[in-house]
Amino acid sequence: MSDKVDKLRKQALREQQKRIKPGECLKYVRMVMDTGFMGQEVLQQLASTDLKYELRSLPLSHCIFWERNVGQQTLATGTTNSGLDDAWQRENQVVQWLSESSFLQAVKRQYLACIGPQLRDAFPDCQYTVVVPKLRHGKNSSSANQDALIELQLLQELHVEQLDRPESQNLFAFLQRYTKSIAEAPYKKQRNESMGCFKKYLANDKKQCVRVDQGNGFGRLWQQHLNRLPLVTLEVAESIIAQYPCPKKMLDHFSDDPDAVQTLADMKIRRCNGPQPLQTERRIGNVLSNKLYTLYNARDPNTLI
Amino acid sequence: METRLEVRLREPNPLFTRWLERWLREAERRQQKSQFKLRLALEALKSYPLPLYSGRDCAVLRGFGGTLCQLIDEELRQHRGLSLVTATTTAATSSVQYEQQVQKVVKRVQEAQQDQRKPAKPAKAPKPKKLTKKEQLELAAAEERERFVEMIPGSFEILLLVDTQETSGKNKRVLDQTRSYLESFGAKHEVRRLTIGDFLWIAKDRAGNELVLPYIIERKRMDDLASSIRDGRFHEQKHRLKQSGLRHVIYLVEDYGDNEQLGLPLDSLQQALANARVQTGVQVVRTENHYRSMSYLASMTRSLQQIFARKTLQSVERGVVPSSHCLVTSSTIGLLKFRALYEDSAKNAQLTVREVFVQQLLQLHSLSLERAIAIVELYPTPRLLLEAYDNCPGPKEASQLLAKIPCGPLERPLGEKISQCLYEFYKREFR
Repeated sequence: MSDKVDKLRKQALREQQKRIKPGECLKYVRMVMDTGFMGQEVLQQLASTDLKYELRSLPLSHCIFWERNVGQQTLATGTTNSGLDDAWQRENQVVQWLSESSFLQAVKRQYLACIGPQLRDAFPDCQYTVVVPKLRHGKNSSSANQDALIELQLLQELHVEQLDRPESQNLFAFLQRYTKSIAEAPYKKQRNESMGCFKKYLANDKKQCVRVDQGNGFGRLWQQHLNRLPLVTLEVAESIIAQYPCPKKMLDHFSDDPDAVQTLADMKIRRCNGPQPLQTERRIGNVLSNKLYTLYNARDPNTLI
Repeated sequence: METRLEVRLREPNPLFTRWLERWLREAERRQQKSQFKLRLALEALKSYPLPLYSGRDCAVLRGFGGTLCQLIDEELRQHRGLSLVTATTTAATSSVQYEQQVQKVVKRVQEAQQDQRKPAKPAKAPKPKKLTKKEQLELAAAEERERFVEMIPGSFEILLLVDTQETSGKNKRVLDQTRSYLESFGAKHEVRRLTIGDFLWIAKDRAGNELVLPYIIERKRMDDLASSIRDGRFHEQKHRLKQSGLRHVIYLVEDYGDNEQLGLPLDSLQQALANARVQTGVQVVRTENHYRSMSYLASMTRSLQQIFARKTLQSVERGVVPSSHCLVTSSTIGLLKFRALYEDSAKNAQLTVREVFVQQLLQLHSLSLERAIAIVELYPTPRLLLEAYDNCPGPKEASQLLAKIPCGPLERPLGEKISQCLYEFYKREFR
């Protein structure tokens, strides 16, 4: 019986993974737009893509938000996968369009401060982006306009996007980008959770991977391992490898010999250019030697190197 | 009523001047090329009216590049030896204390001038004294960290901090341009080494306490953005900024000409910026050029000054900064201390054993990040993995120790091949 539960669970996991995969995920997300304000050009452009959208009468005008198709509830035992109603879950991004005239009027009549509270009232607990067309410079009191936008960002904690002309085309592109971002957000979140404890983003080192085939390539791999430490240059790595061609040798030395760290520190670095007058650092040095010792002997993973 | 003291020194930097003169003479004697820059620097120093306390401070002057500043700091370290004591002040903001501090400054300068008249370098500095001085400094630093700081409205000013390395191109010319633009907008600012971010704002009171406003700016020109996305730095940097403890992270993204020739399609960059907003929650502000970027910063400085002028500011610890802060309604705002932020982010730049271990594991082809993380979950350090190998009944079992570990959200097993590979790598002797 538990086998079946496990199977269902795995199936649900696979289904969930499929839905959030970049590319696929776009099929499960749709825009919900306030009726009336979206021009024909944008709607036509939308129709020519695969992006899904719906027009509704929203509590606040000129707004757009997103919904995701979450399908069946996962991990429900005993339910079959028949064609029930799709469940749509609202995403936490809201975009409001502010035309140039509306914006200028709001600044002039000083009710720009209402924008934030109105958005929060109509759509609580979301991230809000206000889209305005890029203001033409040279208009009188343009610095007042800039200040007004800054206040939207600072005081009201809204994102502001300024669109170049032609407006409708750029608005469409903007909505496309946001939709993609929102669609892929769960996938990114999942990746970041497993990586959350790592301060440095680690995935950019993949270019120099070593292929190991039946023991060939271990030498190269060992060198790459050593290179992960910040103080290790090519010459340093080669000098270490000359003494310890495999990690086992170094580890054995550390465990057998109490003076191993000092011996390692005093090891000379073979310079490729031959002897030169102003050579500092002919030795491996105490710092690096201790780091290597720490790396291979620490039991607390949070030890700083 | 306060009176403004204007202290003008006839020779504000005798020490540095003498050193520069000495180095210049050396360079001239040896016909070295450095003499030209040294002469320029010396001229700039001579016409600068304020006392400078370190080589780094000299960076603001013409002709003082990185090397020269470092040389001065080196010389200063040797010369100064033991005479540096940081002032430990209490949180009181009385004018008497302030006057005392001015007196201290004057006295220190006079002492420096006097030191100058003694030609001999005190080579035999009594070594044991150094230890207690270090302890004194450490005590002072610890006290500063613990102390609660409060600033009531009117007792502080908001200052923009510009990172010394803030440029795309990392040269002094661009830094000078940044500063001259900011000055032309009347934005009061200070250049400092920041361990995180390009621009910050601090609230500074008379006693010298500094609290950081919850905004951190990273300025990126479009070509920088493209190259940092390609080599993965972008994500790392975003992550670091989010972890800084400052709530509002703002990317100030500046056009590079007409944004062609960036190394990545413009579309990709715009998508990356949208992702930064939607997925990471950072603000993105686009500007057309350096001038407009500085204009934005100047306006932001003004707005912040207005907003925070009427607030009471209090120091808080890192974990305690509330995540939702309504600027409009709260009259008291909790802020981090600048020193704390500086030290924390400097520390964050260091690696842990776990991180290096993961990076090492990733070096093996077909060992993905998911798999590496799964391994490290069970065996967080190399030592723990090796001990697990030793605890296995035999080599056959040890070689399969990792094979069944579930990896990633789909929980796929690591596999026999990788498990065996790692075992042999760590346990076999090879050349």
